[in-house]
Amino acid sequence: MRTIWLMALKDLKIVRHDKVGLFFIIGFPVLMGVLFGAISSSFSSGGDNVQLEIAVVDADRSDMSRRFIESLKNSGSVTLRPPTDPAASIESQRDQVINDIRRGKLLAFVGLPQGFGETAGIMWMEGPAIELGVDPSRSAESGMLQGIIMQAMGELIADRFADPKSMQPMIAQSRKDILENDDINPATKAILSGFMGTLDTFMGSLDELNADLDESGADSNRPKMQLANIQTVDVTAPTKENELTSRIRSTWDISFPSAILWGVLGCAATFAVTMVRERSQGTFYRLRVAPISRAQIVAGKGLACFIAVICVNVMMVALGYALGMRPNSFIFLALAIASLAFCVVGIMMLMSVIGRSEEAVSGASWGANVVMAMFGGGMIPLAFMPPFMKSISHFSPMSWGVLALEGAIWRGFSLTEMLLPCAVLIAIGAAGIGAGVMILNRATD
Amino acid sequence: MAEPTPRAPHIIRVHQLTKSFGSLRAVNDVTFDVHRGETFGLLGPNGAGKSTTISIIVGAIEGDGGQVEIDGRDIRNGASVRRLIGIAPQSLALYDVLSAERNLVFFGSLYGLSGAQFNERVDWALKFAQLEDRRRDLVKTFSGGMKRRLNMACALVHDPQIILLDEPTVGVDPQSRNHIFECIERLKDDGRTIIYTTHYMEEAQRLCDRIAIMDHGKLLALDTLDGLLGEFGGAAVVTADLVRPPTDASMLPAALDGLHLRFESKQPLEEVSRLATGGIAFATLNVAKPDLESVFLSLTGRSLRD
Repeated sequence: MRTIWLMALKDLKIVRHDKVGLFFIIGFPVLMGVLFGAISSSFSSGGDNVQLEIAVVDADRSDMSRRFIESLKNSGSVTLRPPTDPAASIESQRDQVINDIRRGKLLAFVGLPQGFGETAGIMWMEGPAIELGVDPSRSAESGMLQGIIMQAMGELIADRFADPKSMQPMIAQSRKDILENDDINPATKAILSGFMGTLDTFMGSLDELNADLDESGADSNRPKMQLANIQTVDVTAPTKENELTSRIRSTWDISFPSAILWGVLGCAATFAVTMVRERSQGTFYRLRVAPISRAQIVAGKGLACFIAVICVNVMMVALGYALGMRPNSFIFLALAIASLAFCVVGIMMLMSVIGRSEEAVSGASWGANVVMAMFGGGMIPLAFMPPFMKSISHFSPMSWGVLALEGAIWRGFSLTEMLLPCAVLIAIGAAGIGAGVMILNRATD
Repeated sequence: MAEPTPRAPHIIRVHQLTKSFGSLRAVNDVTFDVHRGETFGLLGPNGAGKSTTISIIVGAIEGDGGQVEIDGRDIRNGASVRRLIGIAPQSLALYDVLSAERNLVFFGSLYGLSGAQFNERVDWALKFAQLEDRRRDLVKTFSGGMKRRLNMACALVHDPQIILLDEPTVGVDPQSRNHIFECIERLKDDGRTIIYTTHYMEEAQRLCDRIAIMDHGKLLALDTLDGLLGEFGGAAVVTADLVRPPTDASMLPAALDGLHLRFESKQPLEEVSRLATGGIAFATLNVAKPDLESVFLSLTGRSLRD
């Protein structure tokens, strides 16, 4: 054991002098943690903090179009860019914003055509179409923006119902149009006319109720219209602190597993290079001649990598804790980290023997890391991946690493639930060590 | 040059050793013994199979066939045999980003050394390598000669009985080379067994008690320097310019070319002395005695430096 420890200590000293390696072990994961944390923060609380910068070209300039624009602003997810030249014609403003979208300066524009206000919020009247132009490279935000527009239109409908008097002339006009339209068959005409009559009566009653409430001041009893009542629910496991304060968990809980992964991948790549460096600088020869076994040499490398991974993880957890991460179970987190470290040792062993030069091993290691991180959720959250990529991710050790870390940090896994990802990580580690040693033996015999 | 002790038991026995790399036969049926306390030279051009032989002896690679015994034991049989051996490989085997002292401490520790005695050995090795004042400097800041000396010191830090030096003077400046020679001579005087591989015949002639000549993986000859010269070196070549033509040309061992004389002789000095006594006056005189170069030429038909 003394020899293995000596080997590990020597490798850790060597890595301490490797500034690039140190950056990828320590600096890079911290950067990734902060970056992912910032991204997660912006998507937290149901997307309240997401700001989509758009422009509205209002050709209608009516009371309803102004209300619509106000609703967009009040959504909290949209930043309206004011017209660069308010005095310009509507056509010029439209051309300007389309050009800005094309150049990536703006996400989208919403065009409100003339006549928008006459029919907006009246469900049975077909008005002119609202224009929506979105940067094609940002399709995810496009869907979100359409939802915000629908929400704003819903509020216009609510506004119409809140002012029954303004609706009654339109109901009367619609009823008249239906009765005078010879293209509608008599049965349909009777149904529609009856519906309009009922609606007219309903609006009259609503108006009287509003008047009574205005006099009494009992505003809370006023009927309200809402298209959908949505409440965001935190599905992460509650911490004691959250139980006490009902606070939503820190977004760093979500971001740090990915950051930790980058740290351990950095360790794997750095230590993989130390093995091939032993061979290229001739020291492996000396080690093989010394009275130590090849197993001790390999174990020493593995121990150094294991210690480095543990240190990086402890550092990252401490940093995450300082930023607000609150692991659900420190014991399970330790279990996840130990399993992950063992897995990384296996990956490192395999990486270290796939090339004969430092350049080859370094390039191949980082190539493999990027692929593993990509399919494991280290670059793109698994939730955003298409189904086939999600299936492939099961083959990436990193996805199991993320699952184990998340299980300990915020998913609230039980011991039984923790066992699967940890067992998979340990199995991958063992397979990697076995394959690495086998290839090393072949290469050096 | 110290005579080897004929009755000393061999400490290394290499028997019918073979090793191939693909279709290349790097070591081909090589057999020799190395006596205890002897400095044994392996002389041959680059690619002769010297380093491969050394690597098999120390257990860094396995031979395809044959046996190697170190002090009567198989090198693969345990750490105790390996503790007897120290090797300075031809390629430098040092950690560039560690200091000279750290390198020595690490490699020494692998041999189970620790404590005050080990510290003394580290100090001795630093002194041996003339790096006492640079002990805490990183190896990457050292010159080629300093690295080469440290490479040797790492082989010696655990006080081995058998020392294998694989081309220890390659890429070394003359000053460091002389220092290395002096160090090896001190080790010899100290009774260590040394295997010294080189393709420089002058080094083999200066340092080795017995010399094995290798080429294309085969051991072509093995003997003391005098034995090799006597058997394979041929005659000495004498060239001279005479002051005047001799009165009796029949006393010359070869025909004159103008006033230039050239002849071969197994006893050149005696021959020159005889001519001088006979009244031959020499304007210039050069006696080229046979050396390992001529031995190699005789054995292979080509020069060692080819």
